[in-house]
Amino acid sequence: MKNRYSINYLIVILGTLLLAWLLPKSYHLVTDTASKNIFTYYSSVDKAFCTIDFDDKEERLIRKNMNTNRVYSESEFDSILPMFYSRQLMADGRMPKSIHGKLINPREVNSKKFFFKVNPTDKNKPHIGLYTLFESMSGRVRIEMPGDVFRLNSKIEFINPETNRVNEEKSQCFNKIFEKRGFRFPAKMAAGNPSTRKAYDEGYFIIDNDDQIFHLKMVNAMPFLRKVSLPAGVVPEYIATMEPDDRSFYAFVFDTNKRLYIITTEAYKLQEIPTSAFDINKDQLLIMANPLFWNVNVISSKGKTVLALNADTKQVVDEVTFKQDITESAYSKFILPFAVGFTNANTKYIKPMVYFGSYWVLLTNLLLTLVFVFITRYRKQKIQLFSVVWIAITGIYGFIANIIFNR
Amino acid sequence: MIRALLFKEWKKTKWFAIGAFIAGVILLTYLFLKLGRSFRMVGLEHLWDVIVNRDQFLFRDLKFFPPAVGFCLALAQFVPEMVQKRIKLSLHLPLSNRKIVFTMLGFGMTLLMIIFAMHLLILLTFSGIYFPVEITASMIYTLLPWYIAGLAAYAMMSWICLEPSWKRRIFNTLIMFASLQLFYLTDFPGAYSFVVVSVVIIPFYVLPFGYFSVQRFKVGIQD
Repeated sequence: MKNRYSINYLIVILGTLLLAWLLPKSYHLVTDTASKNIFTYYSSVDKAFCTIDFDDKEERLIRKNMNTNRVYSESEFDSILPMFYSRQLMADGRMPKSIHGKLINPREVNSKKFFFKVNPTDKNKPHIGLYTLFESMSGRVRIEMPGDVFRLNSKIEFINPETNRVNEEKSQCFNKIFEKRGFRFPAKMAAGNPSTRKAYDEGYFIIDNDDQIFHLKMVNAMPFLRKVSLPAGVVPEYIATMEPDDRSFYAFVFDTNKRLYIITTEAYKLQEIPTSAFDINKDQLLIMANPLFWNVNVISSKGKTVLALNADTKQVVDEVTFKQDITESAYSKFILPFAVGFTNANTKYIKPMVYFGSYWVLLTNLLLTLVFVFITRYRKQKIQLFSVVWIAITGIYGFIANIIFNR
Repeated sequence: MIRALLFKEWKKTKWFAIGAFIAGVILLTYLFLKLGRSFRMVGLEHLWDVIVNRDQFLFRDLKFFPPAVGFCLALAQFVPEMVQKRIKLSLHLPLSNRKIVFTMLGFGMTLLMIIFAMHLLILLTFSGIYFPVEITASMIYTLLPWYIAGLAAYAMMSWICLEPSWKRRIFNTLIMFASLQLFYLTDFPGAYSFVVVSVVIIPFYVLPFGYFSVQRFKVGIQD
């Protein structure tokens, strides 16, 4: 009989945990609404942030200047944000020749305009440690697949996919330069853009085991490896490469102090990019750049902060914050004591997580324990200490599981 | 006595086990032929690129095969026992009930693990020929939760079959479907890498539940 009880407790525990996972999940399925994401861009004409927001009362998009609150029509708005709507303005023949005395070259606009987005899931996801290294100077317009991939374990090894064998000669040739440059294996991460759909290739930026950054390229079938000198105190955590049209920088570096840098093409100098408080493991970063200003958006659970930076100096010109209303849901306050989750928007990995509610729920737990004792008496069953303690801790989940499985 | 009991279980499940193994081999052969066609059409370099850089998983069709085998094995093994309450005969053997039930459940689990191990061995041999160890490792991390789901499906289905009360069977079924969802939370390759060891615990945690239902049967609980 003792065994019977202990197995029943195992069933109740499993039932409770499943309910702690599925009940809050069902609640969110029914109640979740999209958080408002207001498009925000710094106007080089108005010298102020402009927004596009959906007006619930008027049921239409409102385009306005945040400083003056002046509302614009769609075509007026194109002219207010000439850098963002440059293609439309060029097509209409409305692109200004200069803005506040600064001459505007359409080719420069196209080459210096870029969008860069990093989500926590870009970093926190399983990846297979095999990398495609293109020929950076093939002389061809189109980038072609190189016919091998490399791995970075205790050394660099190139593997031919058609034979699944290591290309010893090429591996040795590359290894020599890795040793010569003082690279410490194994690498912590390698960032590159293994796509043939890009204008040019800048290979990989690799963090070695001593937290040094190295730039790896293949030039005329020969290895190119260069160490990037880091300012004191900069310990890289994550790198995202980019091949911008103006070739002004190679990559974004996120360090352990939650600062953001770019590795410029000027002798690999690191330049800090000011951001609001930003955690690569939790927040989203979106940079919308143009030749005059960089719009640095940090989107977190607390809201969105946008910084307008001078594109040349990277000094902050203006800043705006949109706070997200965090309404504490009544459910967690009074009914659901905690929630178990396995998936999270910040990671692609499955990880068990427990989210706790407020202390108020202890009152409900106490009430449910009393109800359970009453029901047990009514059923003329023996009151089990395990059940009482379990309901007092797990509240509604333990209560349901006990009512069903503990008869 | 235990040998005789195991022989009885083998007699019940022999054809199902052979059938499940063959069905798995046919499914794998189909997948290998499909991949062989891709090798010829687009080349291995492209395929490696798709796996590594576009997070594609080539054996997605295997996803629900292990739980299907688990379900069917439990049905093949325990439905005959519950029809006309034939399990009573087994429980009257001169062995403790616990030993009898756990021998039956242990037999099923071992048989299932042998079938799955053979399938995985065939798969890994194929993968070892055409893919590097990094891709094979990611493949294992993606496949393991599905195969463990097969073991959990067997343990849960046995619990449901051995349960004497229909009302409780419904709740057990709900628990089973909720628990099996834990193995299919995402399709992203390698997403279970950090928890795969914890996931292995689930079928063994659930396995004794069947014994609990037999105890309920013994004390005469019924609808």
